[in-house]
Amino acid sequence: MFAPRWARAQEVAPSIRELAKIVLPAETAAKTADQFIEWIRDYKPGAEIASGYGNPRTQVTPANPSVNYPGQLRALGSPITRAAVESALASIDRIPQRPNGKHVAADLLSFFYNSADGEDYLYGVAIKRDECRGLASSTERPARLT
Amino acid sequence: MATHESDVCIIGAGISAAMLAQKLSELRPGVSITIVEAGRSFFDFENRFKQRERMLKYNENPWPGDFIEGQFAAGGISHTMAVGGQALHWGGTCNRFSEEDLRLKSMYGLYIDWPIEWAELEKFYCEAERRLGVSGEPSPFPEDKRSQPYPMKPIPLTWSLERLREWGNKSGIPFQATPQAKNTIAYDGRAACIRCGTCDICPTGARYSPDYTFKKLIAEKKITLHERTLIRKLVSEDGNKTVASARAANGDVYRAKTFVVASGYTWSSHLLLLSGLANSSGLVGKYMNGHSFIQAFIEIDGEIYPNMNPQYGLISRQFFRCSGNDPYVRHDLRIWEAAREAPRLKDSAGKVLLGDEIVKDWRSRARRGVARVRAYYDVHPAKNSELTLDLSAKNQYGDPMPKIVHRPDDATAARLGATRKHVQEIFERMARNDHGKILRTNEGNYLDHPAGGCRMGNDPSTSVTDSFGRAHDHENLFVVGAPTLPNAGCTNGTLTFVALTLRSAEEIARGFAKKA
Repeated sequence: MFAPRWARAQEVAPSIRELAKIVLPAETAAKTADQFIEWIRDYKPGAEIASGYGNPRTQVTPANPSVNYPGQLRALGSPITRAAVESALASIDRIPQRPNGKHVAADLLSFFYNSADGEDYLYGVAIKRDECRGLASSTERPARLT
Repeated sequence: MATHESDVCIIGAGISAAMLAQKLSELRPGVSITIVEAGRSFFDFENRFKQRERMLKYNENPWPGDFIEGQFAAGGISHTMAVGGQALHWGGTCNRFSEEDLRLKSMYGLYIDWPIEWAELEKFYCEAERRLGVSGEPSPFPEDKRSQPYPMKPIPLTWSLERLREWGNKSGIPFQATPQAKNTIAYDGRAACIRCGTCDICPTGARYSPDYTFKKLIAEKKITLHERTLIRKLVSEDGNKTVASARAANGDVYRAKTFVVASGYTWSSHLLLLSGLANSSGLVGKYMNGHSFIQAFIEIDGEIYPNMNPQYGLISRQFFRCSGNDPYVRHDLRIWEAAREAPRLKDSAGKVLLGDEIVKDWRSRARRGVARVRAYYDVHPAKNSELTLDLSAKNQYGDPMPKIVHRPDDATAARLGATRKHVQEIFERMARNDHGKILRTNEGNYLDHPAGGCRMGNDPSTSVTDSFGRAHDHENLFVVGAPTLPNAGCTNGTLTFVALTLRSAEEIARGFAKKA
């Protein structure tokens, strides 16, 4: 209960890596799992959410979605099987826009497919949306991913 | 509790205040200028990459604390109250209006005319573009003739935008790059854009933001800035002829020869209503305006990728004007890169997709590029399109908060169906090229790029200020920027707010003798 944030991430890390091999494309699973664990670790609940133009109400980030993960991961059993994951996702209709804690498998998918890496993977090119890419290369077709 | 005295007291520290203070300090170097802002400042440029990263990863506010708890406008579109105002996180789009926006009555028999000539405004557009640092390409339409070139060449179109321009032009509608207050070369002490794609927090300073101007003016001792100081009331001491002081929530009193309300479209009218000033016409808070929009997502053949430069796009000014013989409809037309549909968790039969199956499924469904096309169309406000004081919602000082309800005038409401039909036909016309398919359309449920509440005019019985923003009722009180606009045109308003403010600056300067 009083463990620091990173302790929770460390606790679930091995299971998340195992789960990633089932839910994510094989070639990105390991890297994405590590990034997701880091994301959980650095998450700050209660931080102001970007408001900007068009969103006049102040909102804050909800509780760290990973608070639910230990139980969800235990329920998947060991070793984690595809059947167990399918069963766990039966009540979830779509990949959420952001990890929301409803299920770690869906959150892992959300984390990847809403990331710059996930976007590049889908499109098969290096858009690299989160990088400052310079204006000179702006006109070029994004390079194909090999 | 302290009393602060200055020649000019500007209330609000957004983009209009920044431009006014800068120009006034140039025209009248000896004039003392105090700027009072309710919110905090963000003079921490060194943190912007870090803030950007947190926003990208966690959707955290890159401008933490850019609002005041309890100071909330119902019907508003942003809660930002800070040094820099909403322009802290604007996209930087710097479109000009067209002459038609200023001549609705004389050209179309609609609404009213502005008390300013187009040629006069055009001169200040050029100055606004120079001060903000706008990159752009000239419009192909002769009516959009410019008296000076853009200060900088346009931002290069991305691969996707170039494809989208080719597609758009096939409809016989010429598209061009949208002018942007973003540097394509180092300009005014700020770096060139490096396409970070997060213009709402530009980490390099390439996108203009008022905090740069304020920081410079403070360093040069040309202004005094009092942040975190909410002005609750303006007070007259001579039977409403002039404004004598501004009273702050902390008890401080600001006395000045000239007061300028530069608090945006919401808080300017709000302050005047709380003060009971400038309102002999009964029009403070009336004729609140903006423009509506309709947008479509159109799937087309073509290699279109999203997020190559997400806050950059194309505009056509073809529909800024319409013939007097046609039914009245005026709008801009915009195109942005858009993402294809999202990957899905389950296939049509409800089977859970995992691993490579998700990508395979997505690639089988989302093969074509997607364009987001939007038209901001001209609507005119009714008198009761208004900001009022909501007695049921008060801040910690007991002041009623503003409530904004936009209402179109009768002529606008009557032609709404025809406007929608016209825009839909344009979407369909565009979709006839490259095997286009309209995936979905939607309409905004609010007026975008809002303005108004202290509209300018020559007649004190039908307007709050004159063309310079001087209140008809008080010779030393000005309102600048968005509130003075009678109508919001059919494209982004910031450049117009700034142009009008720069014109006001000259009038305010005329009130102070030049020192030898």
